[in-house]
Amino acid sequence: MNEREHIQRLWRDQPREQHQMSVEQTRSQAERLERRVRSLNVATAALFAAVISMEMWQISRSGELLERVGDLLTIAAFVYVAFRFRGHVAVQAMPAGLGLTGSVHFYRDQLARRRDLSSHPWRFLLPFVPGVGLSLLGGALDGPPAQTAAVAVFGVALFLVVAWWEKRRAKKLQEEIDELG
Amino acid sequence: MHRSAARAERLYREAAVEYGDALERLARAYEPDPDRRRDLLQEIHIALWRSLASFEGRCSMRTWVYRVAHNVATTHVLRPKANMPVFVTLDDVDARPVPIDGEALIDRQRSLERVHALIRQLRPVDRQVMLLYLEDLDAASIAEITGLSAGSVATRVHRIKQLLATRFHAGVAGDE
Repeated sequence: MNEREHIQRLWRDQPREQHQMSVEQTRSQAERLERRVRSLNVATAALFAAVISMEMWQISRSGELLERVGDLLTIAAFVYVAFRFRGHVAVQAMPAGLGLTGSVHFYRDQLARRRDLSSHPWRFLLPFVPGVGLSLLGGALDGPPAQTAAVAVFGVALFLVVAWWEKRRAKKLQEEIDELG
Repeated sequence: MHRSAARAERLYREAAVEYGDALERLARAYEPDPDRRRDLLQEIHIALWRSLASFEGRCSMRTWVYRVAHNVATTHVLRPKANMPVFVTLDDVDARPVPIDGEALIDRQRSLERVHALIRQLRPVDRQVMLLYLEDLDAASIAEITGLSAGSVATRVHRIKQLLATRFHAGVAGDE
């Protein structure tokens, strides 16, 4: 027996782990998965609606006009980003075309999807700038200048770090895609 | 039951019988943790079950099954984890021979664990090619399943052979 045959035989003769499912089990698991995915998406939407409602209620009770407008803009940005990227965040039972797509093409598509999400971070950061900016400004008018400056620097730094991190992630993913040829 | 659903179920039964063992080996090569491995195998079977409704015979059943399995397993590997391992290419993997000891020469289980450990280090594409090679598929079949060119598959298979020969030569010699 040559080396190739030895390793291949070693591989194929490895002991079973008895994980086999019956057809009935597979069918019921598939149905359960679909129900769970539907429930998860409904629960996510409900949670989203609840958070927005609570925020709106809090805004209606606060006094400062600039802060209220800022909070409203932030909520609007949140709704916009959630709608814009809903395809990326919604839970799916299984990706489509699993048997139709070659495994390397499928892998490349998965990497490209992640890269696209990360390569333009300002698409999901910029909508938050007006709301967060106005909220900070509103709060700053009441507080000491040093505290205002610190909060402003923190806000800008946070945006920049997120943007840098996402760009870096996109670059790494692109390198991996390029290596696939 | 609807006719197409009955057809999909019949195809699934055939595929599960024919490739059930290979799918279990594949899951084992992708996931070291037994509980997560059981989940992965279940996920592969569910995906296969669902996918067969759209199977039109444009490729062989074997190609279809392996594509589904590798695509699900790759998605599983890419999911963010707390301690995400760093995957390497065939060229970067540590090709040093495994230290020889008398026990290891005859211990198939340990040899198998080494093969698993080696596979799990590899990036998804190299991992896919190596697993298909270990399942004794020829280069044309590997190219059809992965979508790689025949030349690229040949290069990778050549590298895999070298790697396995270097790493496991001692075990092979002792087992013959």
